[in-house]
Amino acid sequence: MVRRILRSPLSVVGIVLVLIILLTALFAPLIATHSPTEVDLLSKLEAPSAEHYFGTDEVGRDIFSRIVYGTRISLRIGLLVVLISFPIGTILGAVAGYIGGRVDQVIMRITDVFLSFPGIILAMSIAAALGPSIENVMLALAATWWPWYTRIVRSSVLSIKNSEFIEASRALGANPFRILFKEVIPNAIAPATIQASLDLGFVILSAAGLSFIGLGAQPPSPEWGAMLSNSREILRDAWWAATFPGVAILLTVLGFNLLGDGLNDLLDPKQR
Amino acid sequence: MLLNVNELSLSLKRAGKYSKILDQISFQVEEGETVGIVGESGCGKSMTALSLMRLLPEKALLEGEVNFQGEKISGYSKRKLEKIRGNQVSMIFQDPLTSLNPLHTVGTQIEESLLLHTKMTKKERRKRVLQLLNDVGLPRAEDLIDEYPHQLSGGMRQRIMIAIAMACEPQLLICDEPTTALDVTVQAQILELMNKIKKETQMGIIMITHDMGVVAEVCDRVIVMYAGKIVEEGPVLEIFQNPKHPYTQGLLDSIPKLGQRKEKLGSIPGTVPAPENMVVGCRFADRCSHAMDICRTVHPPMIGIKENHQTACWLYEEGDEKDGSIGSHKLEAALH
Repeated sequence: MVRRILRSPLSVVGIVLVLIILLTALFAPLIATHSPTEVDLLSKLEAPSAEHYFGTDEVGRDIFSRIVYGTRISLRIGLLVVLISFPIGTILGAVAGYIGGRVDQVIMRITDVFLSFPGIILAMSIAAALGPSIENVMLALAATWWPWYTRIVRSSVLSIKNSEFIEASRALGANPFRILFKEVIPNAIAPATIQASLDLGFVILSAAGLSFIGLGAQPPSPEWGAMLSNSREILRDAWWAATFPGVAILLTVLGFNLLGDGLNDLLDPKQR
Repeated sequence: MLLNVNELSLSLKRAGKYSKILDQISFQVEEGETVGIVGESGCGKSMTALSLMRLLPEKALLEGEVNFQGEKISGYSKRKLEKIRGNQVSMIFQDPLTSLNPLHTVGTQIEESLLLHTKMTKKERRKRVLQLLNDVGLPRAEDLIDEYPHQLSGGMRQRIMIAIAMACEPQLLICDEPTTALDVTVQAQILELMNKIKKETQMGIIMITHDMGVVAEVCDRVIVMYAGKIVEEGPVLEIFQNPKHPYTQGLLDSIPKLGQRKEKLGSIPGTVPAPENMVVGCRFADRCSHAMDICRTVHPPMIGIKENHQTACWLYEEGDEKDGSIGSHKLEAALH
């Protein structure tokens, strides 16, 4: 297994990036050189130096430390949103695909409604209705994210539900509930799992986007999107204030994407 | 009487309307008896097997009675049927490559029916699984138990399927083309294993196949099906030596004989009619060289040729012992 991962250099890059992000989030207080929220007006807008690795922002906060702490916020959003929407989507999709008929129709039409609505607009309206905060952004993203898993799981359930081993399991006397959870879902979940690992990156990106337009994390929270938003006005004087949060978002999304691709090769049961 | 099927009919919904897949099938299986159901693809033999345990699509219309050990199981609720499936009646499917779940180990899958139908402890189950693996002739059971289906060969997988089916010591085993997907040499091994199991357990077996060789090898009695109806039924020797229905004769004629190279193997022209456009009279009439006028208007009833030997054909009358044109060499040919 390890050798198979190592054969693909890109997934190694993905794993390394994700590991760095995870470790950064875990040991943020040890890595950060300053407090992420401490204002120091005497040293505002300083260029990157040995004292402030990534420079300081318009009120003198250390950007490096803010990015380090920001990892925690972004990871929490990504993980929570995926952890909420993945099971909902999987179970709905599996039920729709396996039972079929009217149940399928009802579930899939609801799914279509959510899919036909631009996710970011829905998220914006939820955030606008409930007030801008990081929790509401997560809620909004989770509400727009599950339909994708429903779609994916349903289609893979459809392709395996007539497999002989499902039939064989019925012939053994297993009840439909048991078949659904023991035979159908485990065999249909791989594509959705890969999608989920890719989605970790996209969720983080979307959350940063919502924060950027002011619907998510509020200052002084060291959220990457909010940091980018703040640095707009000082972009000409302080390139570092926008660049480093941007690079952080880029590397995080890239890391999860590469990891997802790696998983894609690894989880394919036909290749095992 | 182990199994008594009485006028079983099945209709499936296709393109908005129901079409009859099985038409008044009646047959019996005794304890320790192996009954073969033969016929071309699409004649309804697999559907017969699935109907017995009601393993059918949602929109299926099933009529008639299925009695198992004197109990009318065709009236059972779904839950009650689940208790019988895999416990008293087991099934073996055609393709051992796809009948096993690729994600579970062999041990877990054999254990499954024990888990569902018995109150054995984990230790007892493992012991039983090891014993089953031994019974079906698989070596190094201790290692196999933790292996995945993809690590095994086709023959081994079919042995695993048999082990799964045998786990709860069923009284009736339904085999749906158990050897079709296997190599010829492996086929022989599997049939040998089934004969051995049959001798040891006295269970009834329904063997669904299109291979007359398999029938000759393991069956006691044969049911020949055509387009959803039984056209001939009798003891295996009788059917091979003295086939009555033109369709049975055609089936036997299409077996290649060892040591004889004919220009052309016997074949029956045409195909099985689709259930949507079923004719009024005998369904075989269009392909039959002996077809008469009556064949196209009235469906022939089952006629007793001899004790146990019946056929549905207008060529014969009750108790008729006209000799069929095919001799015992057919049986020998099939056995090779």
